[in-house]
Amino acid sequence: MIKLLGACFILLSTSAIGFRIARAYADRPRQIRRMRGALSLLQTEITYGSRRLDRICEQIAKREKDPVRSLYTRTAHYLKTLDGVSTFECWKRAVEETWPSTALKNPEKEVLIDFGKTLGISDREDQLSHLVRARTNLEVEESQAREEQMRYEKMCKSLGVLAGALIVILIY
Amino acid sequence: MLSPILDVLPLSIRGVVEFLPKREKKQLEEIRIRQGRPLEVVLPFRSGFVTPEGRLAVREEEAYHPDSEDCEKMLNLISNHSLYALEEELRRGYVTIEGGHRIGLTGRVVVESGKVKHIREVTGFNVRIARQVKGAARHLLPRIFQRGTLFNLLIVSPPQCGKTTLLRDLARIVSSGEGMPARKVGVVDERSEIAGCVDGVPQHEMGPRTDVLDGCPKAEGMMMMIRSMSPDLLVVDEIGRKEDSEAVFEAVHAGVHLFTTAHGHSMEEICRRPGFSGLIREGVFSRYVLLSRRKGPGTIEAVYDRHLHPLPTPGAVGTG
Repeated sequence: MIKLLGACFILLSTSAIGFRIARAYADRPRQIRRMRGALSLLQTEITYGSRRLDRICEQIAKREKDPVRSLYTRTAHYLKTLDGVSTFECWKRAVEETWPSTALKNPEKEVLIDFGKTLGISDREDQLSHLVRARTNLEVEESQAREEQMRYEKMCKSLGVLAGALIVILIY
Repeated sequence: MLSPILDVLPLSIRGVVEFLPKREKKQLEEIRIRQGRPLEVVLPFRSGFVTPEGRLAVREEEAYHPDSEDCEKMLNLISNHSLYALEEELRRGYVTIEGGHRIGLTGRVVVESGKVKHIREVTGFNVRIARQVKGAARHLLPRIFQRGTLFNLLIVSPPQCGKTTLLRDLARIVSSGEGMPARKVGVVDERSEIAGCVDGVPQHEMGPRTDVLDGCPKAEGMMMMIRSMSPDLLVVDEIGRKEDSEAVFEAVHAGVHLFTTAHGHSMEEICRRPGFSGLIREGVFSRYVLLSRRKGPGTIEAVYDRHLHPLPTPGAVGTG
């Protein structure tokens, strides 16, 4: 009886691990898409409105869901409280702090951090060109993430279950 | 009163300015920040470099020297990290902040097809502290308001002698009707100096019947005001170009009164300027006031009538 219970336990936990990894694969393109959407909002605000960057960030944070929300809330907070530290520094800090709680990986982090170097410090035209570039780069990452999702999501799920089954068979 | 200014100063400079003796802080006119050169403050009768302990010094070496990081931080604080929103201000070379204070900027200018596009690498800041001196113009009132009519007024003054202060107070007095029937006042504030608007809201007290067109070119603004706001009195700062004087003619012939100012050290100088000679010959202005800094900013040197005959000067009180 205890043996059976243990076997079930093993099977359940390996499947859970598999599903979790699969979920990360599914979440990544979705989150990149959200980041991209936020950049579009930023673009509209910078082109047509001339609001301050911290207000824009707050506005975006209000409209979007996590992880975009936490990224922009943090940015707005740092912009307001860090006493004139460069915009890039505020943005980078926010990105670094938000990252662990997302399914996002290094390539898109690089894109966002790179984009932060120009955020707010140039005229409108320049801002737009950098925004467009960052969005295109994110788009590339998104399609790659989607490919990976197709390839690995199902595999991870079944691998989790099968690995559990294998262990159970071996030790039964 | 200094708090909006302290808010845009980077921490290191903020500390230095806060350490200044109380009396000096009260009189501050300008804070000048230049990258790699000593921090300077300008007071009514003198100026001095400021040491890191907030003492006024004569020798350069003792002073606090702002570095490039200070300048960068200051620009971030002034622009709230949003340079794209300051395009127009950068083109004009100054930013108006809360409280009506103005910060002049210098640095590397970017030119596009012969016109200034914006300023990059800002390395020089001039924080001009705006002080509203209520009542600065009260003693001038008997000269410009007689038997129920307002006279068209031209204030002639070298820079920094309080002409904008005087003009602002005149607008406030006429608008609130102190010692005269109140009238509608239209202010065309091309350089955001008179009302010191931030987001369209005047930062100085301008009186209850004052409408302000902020950042609007003077000539066009005067016509807009007349067409849309039916003012009794137009207040405009620093006219001088040809189109300005044309607009002045239009306005005065439309039956609107006009208070305005011009840069100059004497009446002869003004009469020689092409923008003014016609106006003066036609007798558009009925009163001229000449200012200087002899007894502090706002010293009234002389008042002239329409034909440039001197009138007795009112008991002049410094505005500073």
